[in-house]
Amino acid sequence: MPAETTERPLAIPSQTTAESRRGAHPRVGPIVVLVTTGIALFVLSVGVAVTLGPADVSLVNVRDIVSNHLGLTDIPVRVSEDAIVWQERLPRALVAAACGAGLGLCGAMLQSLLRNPLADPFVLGISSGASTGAVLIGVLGLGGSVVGLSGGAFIGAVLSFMLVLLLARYANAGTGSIVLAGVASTQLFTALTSLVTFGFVDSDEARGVMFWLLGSLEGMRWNDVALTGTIALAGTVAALAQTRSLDAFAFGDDVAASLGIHVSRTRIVLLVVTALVTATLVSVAGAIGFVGLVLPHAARLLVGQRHARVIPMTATMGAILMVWVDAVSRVAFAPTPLPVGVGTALVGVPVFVVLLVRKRTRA
Amino acid sequence: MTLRIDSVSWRRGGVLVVNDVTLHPRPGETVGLLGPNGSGKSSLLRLMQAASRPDAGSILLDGEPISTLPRRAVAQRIAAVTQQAETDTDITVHDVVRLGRTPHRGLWGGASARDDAAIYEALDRVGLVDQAGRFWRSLSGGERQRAHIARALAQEPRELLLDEPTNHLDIRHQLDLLHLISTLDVTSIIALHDLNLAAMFCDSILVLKRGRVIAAGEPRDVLTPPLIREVYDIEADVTVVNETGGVSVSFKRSSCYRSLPATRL
Repeated sequence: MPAETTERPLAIPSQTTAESRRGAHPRVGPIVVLVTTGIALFVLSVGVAVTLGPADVSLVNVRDIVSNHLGLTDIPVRVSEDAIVWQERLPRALVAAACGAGLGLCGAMLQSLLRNPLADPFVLGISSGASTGAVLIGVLGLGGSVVGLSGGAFIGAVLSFMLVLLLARYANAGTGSIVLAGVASTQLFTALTSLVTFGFVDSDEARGVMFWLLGSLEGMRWNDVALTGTIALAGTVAALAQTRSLDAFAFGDDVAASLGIHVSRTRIVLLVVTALVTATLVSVAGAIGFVGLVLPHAARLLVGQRHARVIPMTATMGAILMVWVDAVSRVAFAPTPLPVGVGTALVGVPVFVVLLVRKRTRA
Repeated sequence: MTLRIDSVSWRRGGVLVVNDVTLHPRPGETVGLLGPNGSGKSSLLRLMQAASRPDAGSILLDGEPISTLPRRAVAQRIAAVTQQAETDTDITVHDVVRLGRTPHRGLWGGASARDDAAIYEALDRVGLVDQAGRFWRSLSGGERQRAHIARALAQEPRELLLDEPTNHLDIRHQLDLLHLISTLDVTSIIALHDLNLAAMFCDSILVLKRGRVIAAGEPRDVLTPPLIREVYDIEADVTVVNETGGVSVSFKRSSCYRSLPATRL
């Protein structure tokens, strides 16, 4: 990972260096400090989030329970607390973190690949495609089980993503046309979902589907953690391997190609990665909006435009943010849980508006 | 050895935009591509950086067909500055120039001392060292153009392809830039609109019209009133300006809008 030294040209007086850096992006510091701070904050956030809820568990108990399960210690703890922390709250917090990191990552990649600051899995209609897939599976009676619903969501997400890309391609992709294609696709799939829901699903099922559409982390288990964690990690590694290309897309395809990037190949590979990550996360946790849209912008404000920094920063911030949004939506109206997508939208939209206004005043 | 273009043709959307063009630049020389809008200058530059493949003919880089070389290998040799490459991102001048190091960096993008040196030298050459921390959006058109040139120089190319690089530049920066390019130890191929700049800085000139080569050779041999009339449909005077045989072109106003009624003017 390039450290701050990349800024410093060789063999020139320090005065010139200082001058050349004048007005540079406010950097928080070397990337090592950022990553360490990020990991520390993340662990702390998960720890604190797990203590929150109707049954009070102290941070010390959480630490003991986790280290017991990791086989590091054998400290006696209450069985009820152990079950709440290890079987309910911790897996849930970790799935939330994986979703935040993965969706943020997908947003950062899409914004670079499509050269559109508004690109995000949610805006491009991937989530609504997932919803349609899920309700269709429910109606066809193939699901019933969670696996069926998730499988339908996965297929729906991938199909709708393909539809958006094809639409944008045949509309002869300006950078705006993909967002328009996303809007069209969102409307189509939302209508299809409503049609199916009104026509075929009884009201109880409909409520379940609605809840899932808004994003829900109810009943997450360790197998969900394994799935979402693996896919978020794989997505991060894939993105980090392509930071050079992601940077090179800043001035469009021609410049990227002249810098030696395989434009079509890189774009297809990374779009497929994005589709798979999004589809997996949405199939597990439902449609969680605005994380992918807002977080990359926030990360860029902190660390500048280089994707070698933007990608890890976005993933870390996404993980931390989602842990907190989920914790708050869990306890805010307890015992009634709030869909986590409501929380992300309530946080995300104002942040987005601030970013838009800020952009305009500086332009 | 450098680029060698032989009988290249390229059809784009049913139109023959490059028609049987041959160009053998000498290593290190500065070649000017002249011709009216739509004469195929940009298309020819596109083919030379392997961004597109010609329908006929061959383009060789050191004797190897350029289309068979890996993209990255081509980018380590050939740098290109296209027209109007813009971005919406909050990228700094330094980051833009740093992009030029892309073909020289490994998969994980670690920066080397050579990268830093190349970036600094490139910034210095276009006079942007002091501006390295500024944001793209705050730059003037001329500064953006110079940042792109610096990005191409940071690529440490041996062939430099430039599509109207003097656009947006004031006369001072036009002269500085072309002086810089013509003194670089690289083979430069530049699409230009300004005949006088071409005469001043190019070692040889290739004149295109509707994709075909109309004339090629040294500026003083190529830039003649009959040729300018044939290519641009304009009356011009060409005078020899100094002992080295440079030429200067001046245009006659009477040739403007000849085919239009006077009331339109």
